[in-house]
Amino acid sequence: MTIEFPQITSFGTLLKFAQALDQTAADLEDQAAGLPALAEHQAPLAAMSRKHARRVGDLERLARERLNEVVLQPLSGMARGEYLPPTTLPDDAAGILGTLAGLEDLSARFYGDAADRAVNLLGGLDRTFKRFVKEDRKRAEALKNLAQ
Amino acid sequence: MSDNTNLLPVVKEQYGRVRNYIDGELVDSSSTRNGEVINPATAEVIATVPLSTKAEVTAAVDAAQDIFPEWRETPPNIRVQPIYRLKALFEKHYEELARIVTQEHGKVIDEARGSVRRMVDNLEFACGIPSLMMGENLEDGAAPGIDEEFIRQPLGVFAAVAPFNFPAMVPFWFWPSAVACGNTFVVKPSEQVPVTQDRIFEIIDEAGFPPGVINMVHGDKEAVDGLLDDGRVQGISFVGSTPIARYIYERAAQNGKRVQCQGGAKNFLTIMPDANMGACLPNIVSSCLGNTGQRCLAGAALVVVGDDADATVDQVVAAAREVRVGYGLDESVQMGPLAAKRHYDRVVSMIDAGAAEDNNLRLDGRGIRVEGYDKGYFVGPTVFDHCDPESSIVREEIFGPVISIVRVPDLDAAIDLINSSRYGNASSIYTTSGKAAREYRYRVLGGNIGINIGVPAPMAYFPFGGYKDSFFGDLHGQGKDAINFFTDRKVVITRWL
Repeated sequence: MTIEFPQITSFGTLLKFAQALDQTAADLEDQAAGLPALAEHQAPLAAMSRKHARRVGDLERLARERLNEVVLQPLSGMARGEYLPPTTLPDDAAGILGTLAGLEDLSARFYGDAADRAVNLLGGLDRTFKRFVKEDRKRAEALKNLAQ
Repeated sequence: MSDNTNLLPVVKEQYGRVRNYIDGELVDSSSTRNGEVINPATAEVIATVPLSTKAEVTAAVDAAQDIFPEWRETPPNIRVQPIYRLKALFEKHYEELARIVTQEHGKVIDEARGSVRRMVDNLEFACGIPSLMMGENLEDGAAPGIDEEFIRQPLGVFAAVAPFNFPAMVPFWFWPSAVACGNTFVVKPSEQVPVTQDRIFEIIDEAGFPPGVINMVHGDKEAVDGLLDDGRVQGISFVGSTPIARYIYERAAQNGKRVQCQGGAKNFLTIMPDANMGACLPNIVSSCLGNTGQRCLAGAALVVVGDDADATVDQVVAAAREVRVGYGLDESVQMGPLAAKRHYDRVVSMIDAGAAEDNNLRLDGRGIRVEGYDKGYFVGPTVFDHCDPESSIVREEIFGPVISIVRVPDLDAAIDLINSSRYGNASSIYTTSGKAAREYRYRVLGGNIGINIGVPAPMAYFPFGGYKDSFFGDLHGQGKDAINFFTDRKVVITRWL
């Protein structure tokens, strides 16, 4: 199924982009977990994929529950092109792990920027996004360690 | 991954003729009078609406009246069970309902989603009725050995007449609390945007209310008058323009009913020299242009305080210019069309009048073209500066994406200007001064006050305020006021001999 990344202009598109980003990470890490070349890392990769998939559901719930017209306002300053993730994996194990670590770094940057720029729009979600940054950075570090 | 255009699909292209919901059945109206429901972005007809007869209104009240004794005897904790089920159903149909709202009204999808969320909030509030409806008692309250208490009792059939600007949400300010309190209800949606309520009542039908507890009749003045004149209807809730609010208030009151009528508004946003404009600017623009200005809590006039206002005004104009206008189902769009051609014509004529009155038109939204939607009722963000405080664009409700800026020397002048308005729905101040904010809250004659918030929309558990020509009645919608409106208090004094 095609994952679509909207232009980020509003609360809804920000949350939709976030879901797309996490779905992409979940898909790629799940794909990596199933590759023979990465069989020894199957468990941690599968766990990372599950975390991202769970976040997709959490984001859907947050998008509904935190949408509040009191703070609804246009959003600018987050260019879609700055946060588009890779959609395929390279062939070699080291390349795959590097790509996934890069994806985690990208995700951390996205959530960090979102928390900073949309603090008035998110109605408290910025704290959640900052937690996501920590989680992504931790996974990026773990992936880099796996590659060594 | 696709480079998508962010355009969401519609739920349906055509919805046919919407139906009434009477005595637990979705029924076709026998009326020969019909209206058209038009998607304001495309100007295409998406449905027709029957303008129901007085006999159909009477049938709805009959059903509500017949079931009232049984519903009243149902314990409160049981009465809220279908409301719990309805919340779950609305969560399931959340996105679908939001898209219908956008399709028939024009507001952007995030605003539509927000309105559906507010609708659900009111269901959640009503689920607390077993606690909220409790009475009070006092041992020896009347005399030694004589206890005094009051209990709350439902009254019978209530009705709501809803506006066009929030097709999903507004009826839910009223009927969930009324029904949970043990009353029965008739909803009359706006004939301009009836499709959302048609779908909502299909969903309500799944929730398991006894037939007749909640009913819906589409229509126009004939249907409204039928409700106002039916002696069995105990109370009326209304949201809309001031002239209609006044009419309904007077006619319903003459007929001995309880009435709560929310009317029009002209909301002033005051920007103090110490305001944190970097943080507040998007909120200011969103207040004025959100829902294309068709919100009774929308900012309509900016009162910029101080001698050095040019930079502030320039920021507002620049931010308004950047707002992306288009079809609300395109998720990248930040402002949709006006809801109807008639309303479009009115807003354009008021901009014409404002320009003719020699106010400084800094940004002109007339004649805006939206690619692919040439027939839509679009008016772009419009900003007037250096407005005469007595000009029509400062005094009259426009209900469109028009910002009228008045410059004043100090906070006293700002408050004097605001309090001279015939309206008193909402007002906001942007400041970093607690003293100024406190002064504003204390002195401004408005029912909803924002401090660095441009849309001070009360949550379901707070009353929706309103002063002067913005509200007729005493008990407001939502919150504890709703419990008082939909119940009577009966005092009981007891002595056991």
